[in-house]
Amino acid sequence: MFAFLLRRFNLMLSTLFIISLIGFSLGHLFPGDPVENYSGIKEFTYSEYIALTEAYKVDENLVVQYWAYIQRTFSGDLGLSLNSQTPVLDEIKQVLPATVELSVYALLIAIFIGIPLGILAGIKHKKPTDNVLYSFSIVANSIPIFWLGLLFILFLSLNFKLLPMSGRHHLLYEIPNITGFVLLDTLLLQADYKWLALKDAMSHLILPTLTLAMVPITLFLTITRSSVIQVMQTSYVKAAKTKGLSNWKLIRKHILRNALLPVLPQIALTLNTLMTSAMITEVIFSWPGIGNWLIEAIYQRDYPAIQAGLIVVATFVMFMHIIVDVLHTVLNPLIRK
Amino acid sequence: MRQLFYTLSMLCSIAVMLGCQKQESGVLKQGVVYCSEGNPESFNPQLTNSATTLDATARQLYNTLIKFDEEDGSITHDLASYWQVSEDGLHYTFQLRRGVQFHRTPYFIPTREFNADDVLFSFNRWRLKDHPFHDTGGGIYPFFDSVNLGENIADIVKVSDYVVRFELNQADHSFIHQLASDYSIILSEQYGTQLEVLNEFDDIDNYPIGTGPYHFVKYQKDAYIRYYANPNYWEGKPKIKQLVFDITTQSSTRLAKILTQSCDVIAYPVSSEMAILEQSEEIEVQAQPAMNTAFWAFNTIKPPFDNPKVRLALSMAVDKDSIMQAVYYGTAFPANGLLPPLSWAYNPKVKNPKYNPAMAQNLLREAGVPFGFTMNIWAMPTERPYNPNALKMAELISQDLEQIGIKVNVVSFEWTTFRRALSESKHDTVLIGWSADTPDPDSFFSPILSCSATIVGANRSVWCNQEFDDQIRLALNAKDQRARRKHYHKAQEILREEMPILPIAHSMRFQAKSTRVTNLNFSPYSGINFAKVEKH
Repeated sequence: MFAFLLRRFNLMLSTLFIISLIGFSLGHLFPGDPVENYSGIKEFTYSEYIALTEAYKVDENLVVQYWAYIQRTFSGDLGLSLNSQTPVLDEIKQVLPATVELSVYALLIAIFIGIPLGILAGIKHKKPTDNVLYSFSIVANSIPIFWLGLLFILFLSLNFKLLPMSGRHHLLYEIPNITGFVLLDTLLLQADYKWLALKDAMSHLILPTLTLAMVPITLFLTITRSSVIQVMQTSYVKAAKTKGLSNWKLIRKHILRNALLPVLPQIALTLNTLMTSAMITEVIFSWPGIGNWLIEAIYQRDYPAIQAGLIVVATFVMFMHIIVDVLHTVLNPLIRK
Repeated sequence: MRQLFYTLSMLCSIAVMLGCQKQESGVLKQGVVYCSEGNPESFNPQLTNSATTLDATARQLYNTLIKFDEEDGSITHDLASYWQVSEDGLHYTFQLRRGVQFHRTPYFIPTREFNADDVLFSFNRWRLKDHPFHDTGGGIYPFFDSVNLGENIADIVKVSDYVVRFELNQADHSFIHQLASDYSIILSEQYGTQLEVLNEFDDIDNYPIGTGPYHFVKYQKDAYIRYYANPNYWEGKPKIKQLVFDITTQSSTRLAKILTQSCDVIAYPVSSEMAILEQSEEIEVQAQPAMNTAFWAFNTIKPPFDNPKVRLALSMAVDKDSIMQAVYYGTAFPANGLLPPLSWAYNPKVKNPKYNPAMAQNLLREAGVPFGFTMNIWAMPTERPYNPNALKMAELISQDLEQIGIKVNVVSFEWTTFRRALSESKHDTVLIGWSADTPDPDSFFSPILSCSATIVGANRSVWCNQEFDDQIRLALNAKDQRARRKHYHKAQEILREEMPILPIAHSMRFQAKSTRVTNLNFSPYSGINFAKVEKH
């Protein structure tokens, strides 16, 4: 176990190193002055410029510069946004929770819909239920999510006016940003419109969450399904069946536990795809998350924001990945070898 | 299993019940959401000349001494209850309104009412270079600098606490119009002093304090601006409690938002969307002819655009009729000059060059522009009242130019970045336009084509012509309207000869609002004004 953790730690460090190298070189590769690209300050006085050149060691060789860059990054100094002139880190702190919230809900929905449906399809293998579910998952998996999002908006928002299509809540409900998670913040709200605001926030969540959850649902469905089919064919299941075990007991005791093992790592992998799809979903539903923010930064040629955004997103995804990986290994000792 | 079934059906029925509760809550009725088209550059109109910023700030947060009447554009009182002009036109005396309160917010609590000190503070901030707040926010005041207002004001005298006198160097007909424009707002001197003590100078433009109907609560970039009603507003407390600007850059998203009732009012619906808006019974489209012009500006310091012949040739190569149809869908009329025909100073003899690609080609070859020459056209990323779709216009023009052997790259950035790069004159040519700040003809010339506009980076042609500058200056000092008209006619003739810009269209201005919202001011003479708005 120790060796395993060490290996993972090593992997993390080397990946972080590569990410930081990319972030560092972007400061030089972007058009314009490196001092401006790193600091994000638009107008300096001469003495400010000299002070920053000194601090960033821009006059010295690349290794020294890189070292200064790493020190800055670790102390949380990611520069100012060129456009708003506020620290990039503050902006990220404001937008990242929105993305995490959306991804977590989508993941939960995918788990609670995808896995049960997968089990159902696996058990009813080669029957109409299975055929319908399997075709559904293939169709849903092939729909690009930006198109799916637009379809949802067209039918559910514009034609039938059932659900709102953009933002996290109606702007007239004033929800302070305490945790950054809109549902939690609404629950913490001290106002007479608390429950109306909560309902409003929920209704704003439905479409983006469903859009984002669609691909993971199909993924979990197909993997659970094939895993259940495999387990069903093993001799211990056949033996239990011949012993006269009831169907429900058979599923619960023998099939579920064994079939769900290969699904777990899939959940971890999905997290990565979720982060990237979340960016697309955010743009479609004007969700104020990090994806929307990054794309806006790219439009505005906001180099410090692009650079810091990339680093933060990459680091975040990698951390999540490694945590899930470790958890998975703890749960399933077979993998460690 | 049975238990599971019960729980599930319970959950389902709760969900259905929640869904049925469709009454609108009080909060939604007591606030108005305006879907605006972009981020404001600042919360102080003095620092900008963009209509987006004016709409977001001027008439919501502030008042001016005098203003344009919403109906007929005549000058009427705002914070000045009475004013007088001396016979030689050099002294303007204003009697100030008493009992006007500044905003009371968590960051500033006023202890005195509005008086002459606030007027002096607001004007001296941009007028006097040694004023403590002059350099805050960059020290550039595009509107005042481009009309040279600062140079013409000799002094502003505090006669008493409620009387202020402006003393001019030269009689200037547009002075009173400039004072009534959305830029000449009144800031709080007491707030300025507080910030000076705290050494937080920048806050004066980021956490604004004014006397207007709403006060600032929160601004989140790319997301929203939140204002609360000012309970002490001197014209009477607004009927709504909250005003929110929902910043939505895409016009199709704004359209969807008003259809789904996320917004009550939307800015700049584009011409191609009018049909959809008019179908809905809950939405009202307001339209009016506007004092604006869309034009194509040539960067006259970059060869070969420094040659008037080249500019004329390019102007001839553009098929304006197809632009009127494909971009404006009949919601504009073609321009013959910078000044719209509505203006009294319009010169009917000046006509745009006719569409003639063959002659354009000849002119280009004479000027030595080779076949296959490549240039760029910068197109605004966002729709403006004068131009609903600059990118499409740029594509149409580039097709026309291809006919005469010129290759075109269309360039576009996000709006704030775009404006910044423009003032650094990095472009070859740009499709942009101008909405007049005041009904005075001068507001079409001085702010965008004068030499002083070039210096502050507001002149998109980077064009400085002494003869033209003389004409517009003579017009301002002229004795009567007839003399002024003569100078403006001459100025328009110079523009036609030199072609620093090709005027394209004068567009109608539109605004769409939900029928639940009433009493929303929609005036051609100033930015949007929510002071009296009501929601049912």
